[in-house]
Amino acid sequence: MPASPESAGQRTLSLYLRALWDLAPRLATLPAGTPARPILGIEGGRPVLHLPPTGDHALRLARAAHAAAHLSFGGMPFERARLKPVQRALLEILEDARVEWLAMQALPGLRRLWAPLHVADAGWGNGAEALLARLTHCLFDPAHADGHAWMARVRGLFFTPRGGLALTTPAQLRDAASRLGNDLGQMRLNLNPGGWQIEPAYRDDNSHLWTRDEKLPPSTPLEQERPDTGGAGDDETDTTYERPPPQATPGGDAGEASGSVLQIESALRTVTYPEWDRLIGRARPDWCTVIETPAPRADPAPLRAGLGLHVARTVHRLQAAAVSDRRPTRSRSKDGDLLHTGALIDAGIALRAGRDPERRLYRDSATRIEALDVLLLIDSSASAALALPSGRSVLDALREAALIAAAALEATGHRCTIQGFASDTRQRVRVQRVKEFHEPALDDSVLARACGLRSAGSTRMGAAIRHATAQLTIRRSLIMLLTDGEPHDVDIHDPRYLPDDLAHALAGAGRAGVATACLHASPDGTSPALRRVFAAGLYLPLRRPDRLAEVLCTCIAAIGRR
Amino acid sequence: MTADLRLAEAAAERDPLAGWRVADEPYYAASGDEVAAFEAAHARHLPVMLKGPTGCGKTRFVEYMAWKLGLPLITVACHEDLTAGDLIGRFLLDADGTRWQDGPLTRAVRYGAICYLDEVVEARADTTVLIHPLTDARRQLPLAATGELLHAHPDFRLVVSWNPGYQGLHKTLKPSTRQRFTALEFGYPDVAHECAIVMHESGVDDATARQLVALAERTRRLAGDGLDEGASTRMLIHAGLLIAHGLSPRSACRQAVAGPLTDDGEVTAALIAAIDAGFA
Ligand SMILES: Nc1ncnc2c1ncn2[C@@H]1O[C@H](COP(=O)(O)OP(=O)(O)O)[C@@H](O)[C@H]1O
Ligand SMILES: [Mg+2]
Repeated sequence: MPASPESAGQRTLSLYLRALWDLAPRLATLPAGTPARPILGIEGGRPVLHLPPTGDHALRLARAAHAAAHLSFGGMPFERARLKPVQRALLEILEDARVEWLAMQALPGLRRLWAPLHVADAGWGNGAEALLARLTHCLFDPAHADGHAWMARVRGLFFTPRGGLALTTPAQLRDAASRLGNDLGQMRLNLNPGGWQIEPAYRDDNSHLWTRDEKLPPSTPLEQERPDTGGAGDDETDTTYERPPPQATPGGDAGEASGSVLQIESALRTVTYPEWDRLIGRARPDWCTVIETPAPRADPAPLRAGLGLHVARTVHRLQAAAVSDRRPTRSRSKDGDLLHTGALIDAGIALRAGRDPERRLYRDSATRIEALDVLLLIDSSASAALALPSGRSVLDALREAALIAAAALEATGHRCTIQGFASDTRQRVRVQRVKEFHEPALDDSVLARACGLRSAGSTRMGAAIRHATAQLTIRRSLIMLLTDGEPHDVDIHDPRYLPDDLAHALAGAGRAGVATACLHASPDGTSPALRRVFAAGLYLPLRRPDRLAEVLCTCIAAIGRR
Repeated sequence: MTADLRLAEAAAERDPLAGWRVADEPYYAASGDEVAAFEAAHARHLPVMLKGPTGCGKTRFVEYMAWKLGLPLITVACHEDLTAGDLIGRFLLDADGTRWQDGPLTRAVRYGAICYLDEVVEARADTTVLIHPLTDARRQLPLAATGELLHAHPDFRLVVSWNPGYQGLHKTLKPSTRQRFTALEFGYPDVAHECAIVMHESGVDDATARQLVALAERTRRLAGDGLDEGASTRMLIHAGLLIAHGLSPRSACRQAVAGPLTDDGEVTAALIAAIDAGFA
């Protein structure tokens, strides 16, 4: 799924909403051509803001800020019952004005965002639609001079004499709306309910203000946006669902072997690990079953062809970058801790001869590599089958990068093992062993097993990290997670459950002295969930998986430096 | 040699730490009982570790405590190329041959001062082990290069700081090092304190300080997602100084907060929009 231009803007909007209001709605894009009003809804307890695909940065901010005002200051939905269309329109206008007024108390700069969009004035005429638009302007800006007597009457109802809010309860709003609707009726003005739309266009269609009424069709079919929402683009935000049970299929061992998307031919061993359940705030013991298998073999010829050249270059890079620990050598340097005897003698001679002495008087320090054990953990879930622009799959890129890195690590004195993982519910987390510590990275059997990795299943990262941690013993060790996705599994519907579990798994690795880092290769951009759980600096997003090997090695080089 | 220089040299001989004394009381707004805690550690010769995000007042606190206890303060900013020699000292060459020069740690140990190692995790592990014999009952510093075994002056104290929120790979203190310290946790001051600090340090009025602190809280919500860390008290003071100089609050915050926090275009756009929303 290529990153759409609006997904970049959506990240900005997500951060904007989080920073100002601590809100994390899902952001979705409406199909082009629908009426250009945002739609605010709640799906599964989480707000969703559907945004028109058009509009510049300022308009997008104005829409988001208005929706945030509803979410922050809105109340329960109203009953439609017994309200005429014009009264409903008025109630929407009053409520919009109320929530914006409250939002501007805390954030006065929002006025600058919305003000240029309020343009309705006497020039719009005296029809019902025009009067409603003019009223909207008058309520937004109490200083705006409109001239129509009715505007003054509504302002008198809406504001207190000192400029505060007079209408604060739902009952007061409803009452005011029905009285003002009667005013318009007496002016013999009729609203064409089908043709009326809220003004200005940055405001949402307010469908969320009303309880669902089966007799009326929704103002815009929400289902329509689905085709556009498959990618990560519309789900940039951290999620805050408050949903009931995270384990959709808690029952026993329901998902046993039959019909699993993950094949398991010869299990080497089966280990259970705890899993963190954020809702109960503790770990469920022996909750996930990791089944370890050797990766099946496949023809390594195509893989081998591409590797050789890369490896040489990468080894070079690692060697150049590894300045892990310095030791004095025989060469001379301008700074250092130990004086260089030869240089001192030379300098003494120079001084006596009246010349300026050479400035390199100290012994230089050379690099020494402290061996690191690296476990490269490849996400081989279904999403890794995705094709890159180059025609290769993400999994191809991941496996090649892992092998190059492994070869380069070995050439510079480190040790490396490679494993693939995928899951299909907590009963079935499959770890496939590709390369053991003792096997040379470019060994035929290693390459064959690397090629045997196939993408299938989901991504239960916490269990995989715990299994990896359990295999590492010495203190200087590192788990490098190579993935294109996010924590996900088919039996989990709470989007925070698996990221929270992963965070606990990473903390456990940290306690065991194992460093963890994540290289996230996705054309869709970054993963907020992964960014949140990995320590700052240890989550490396990469939009172009083709550069994976390069970045992986630079990253490992940086690790070697410590 | 001029008379001035000679005077200075004579003074240095009498008080080798003259340049490191904290003459005037530094402004420090305490948020809790950290002053009493530090005094207790001081009385019992215990080393202190200050933990907390960057720019939240750790350095200012040490300056204040040095003043309060009447001790000189020698600060070392640690970085990954900091060598043992940078801390301990080294031989220099001059016209008469070689001459030993104390490094900052040695000077503090020899003459009695607080040695403050700022961002100690940044230093290499072989540098950090140097402080081990200083932090237990031995209170010694062996100088390998000169063969001297230095016994710490009774006024020598060791203070280190680090920011647990932001760490590189393997950048953490070894248990053998960290377990030698007593720790004080620092966070951003609460709203009232932070406002008072921003007003005092930058000269802005109460309303502006409140807006700056509110902005900081908003950016701190993005820590770990869009940002590594939110805006620090230090950044708010910078913004306040620019405002006091006549810049509009929005320009000042762009310059002192949004710019320094991130280079990411999308995050910058969100920060600028958040700044704009906060100021009329
Ligand atoms: N509690 C405080 N009292 C007084 N000033 C403070 C306080 N906290 C922060 N500051 C101000 O913030 C600035 C940055 O704090 P600093 O001590 O340098 O941060 P740190 O050492 O934690 O990185 C200081 O120069 C000071 O102006
Ligand atoms: Mg609305």
